[in-house]
Amino acid sequence: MPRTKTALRILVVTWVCYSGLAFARFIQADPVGIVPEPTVPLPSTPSPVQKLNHLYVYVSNNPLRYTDPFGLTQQDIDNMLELVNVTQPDLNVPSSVSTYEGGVSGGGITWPFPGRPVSISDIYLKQLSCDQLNQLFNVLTHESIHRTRPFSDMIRRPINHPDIYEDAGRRTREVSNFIRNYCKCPSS
Amino acid sequence: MKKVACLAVLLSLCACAHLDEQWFFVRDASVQQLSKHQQLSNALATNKVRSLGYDDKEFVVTGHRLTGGDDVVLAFRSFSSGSLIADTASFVKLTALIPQSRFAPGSEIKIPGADGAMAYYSSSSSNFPGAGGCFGYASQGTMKVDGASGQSVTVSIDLHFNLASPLGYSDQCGEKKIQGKYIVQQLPLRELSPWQGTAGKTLYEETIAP
Repeated sequence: MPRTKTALRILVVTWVCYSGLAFARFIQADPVGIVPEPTVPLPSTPSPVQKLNHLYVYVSNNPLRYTDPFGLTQQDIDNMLELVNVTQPDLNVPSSVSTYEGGVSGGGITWPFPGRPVSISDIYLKQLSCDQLNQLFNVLTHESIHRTRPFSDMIRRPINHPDIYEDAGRRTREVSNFIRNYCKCPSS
Repeated sequence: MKKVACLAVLLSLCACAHLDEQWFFVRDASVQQLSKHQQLSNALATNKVRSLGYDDKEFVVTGHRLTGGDDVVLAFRSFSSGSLIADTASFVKLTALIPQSRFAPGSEIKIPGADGAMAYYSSSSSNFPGAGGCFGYASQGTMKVDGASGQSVTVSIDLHFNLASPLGYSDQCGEKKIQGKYIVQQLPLRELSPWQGTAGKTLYEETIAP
């Protein structure tokens, strides 16, 4: 990997991870869009913090099933989504994802509706370890690849598409060490 | 385009899942990574390890690969295709290693204690192997060969597992029992498919039944 690309990835992962941990969660909508200062210097590009500031969302709108006292669980999903967005510019990454209940498989679904919304397993609403964050990145990347491909591709071979699994796995491996080293995620 | 989308949604909401289950046994066989199984089994039994980790999570699949050996492998393979929506297929696999001399009518194989008999169980999404699901080894139980007829045997199984989550979700897995009487067909090792127990060109040939 070229040195500049590596340096950029370190910066991006550090930026996304630290900003997520620093910003926690809002108890009411932010009326003027004011966000706290990040703990690390940000590049001069538009701040991802504004994208991370999902007003009102609390444990995927399911407070009876989950609690999120530290504001980190939905934030994990949002941060990894942003990380996919920043590190995989060739993919059609959704701006947000929903979760579905009972998803112990840890997978995801790209729905065959207009706009191709994405749902992922609600297993990711837990507080996640480094291993689990890596898998979350993998699933979000996988679904983004689905969204990037023609609609017919998803309908034609819904069950087995090994090229997509392998592509998502490769992309995750390229980023996984950065997630381990620069996100303050607990070990499994 | 809207018609195609509506049709896809309609089809996916139908009960389109199909379940493909098979029991079989293979003589003169073993598991490919026997020493890894032994280490992992001990580590799980003593709680030194409670997960596989991201880099090794695919052992929920590769742990069921077979090779030539001195034992009998008794195997169960189950595949559910899920709905027609992408990425909802799942599998369950059980691979038990039994000393060849003990695999005879009337013989009861106890775990633990039967000359290295072992039973490895895993369940997972077929599309995201190891992302969720469970894995583990039989901690106690019996496998009894009730009778044999031609190329098939009847076995009674009563196995208790203490399962763990591949990525360490502490509340996802736990106790699991497999009990029942099954007629099990013999298959030659050379005829096994990747789904049944050989290495596939891709991992997904091993997680999705043909």
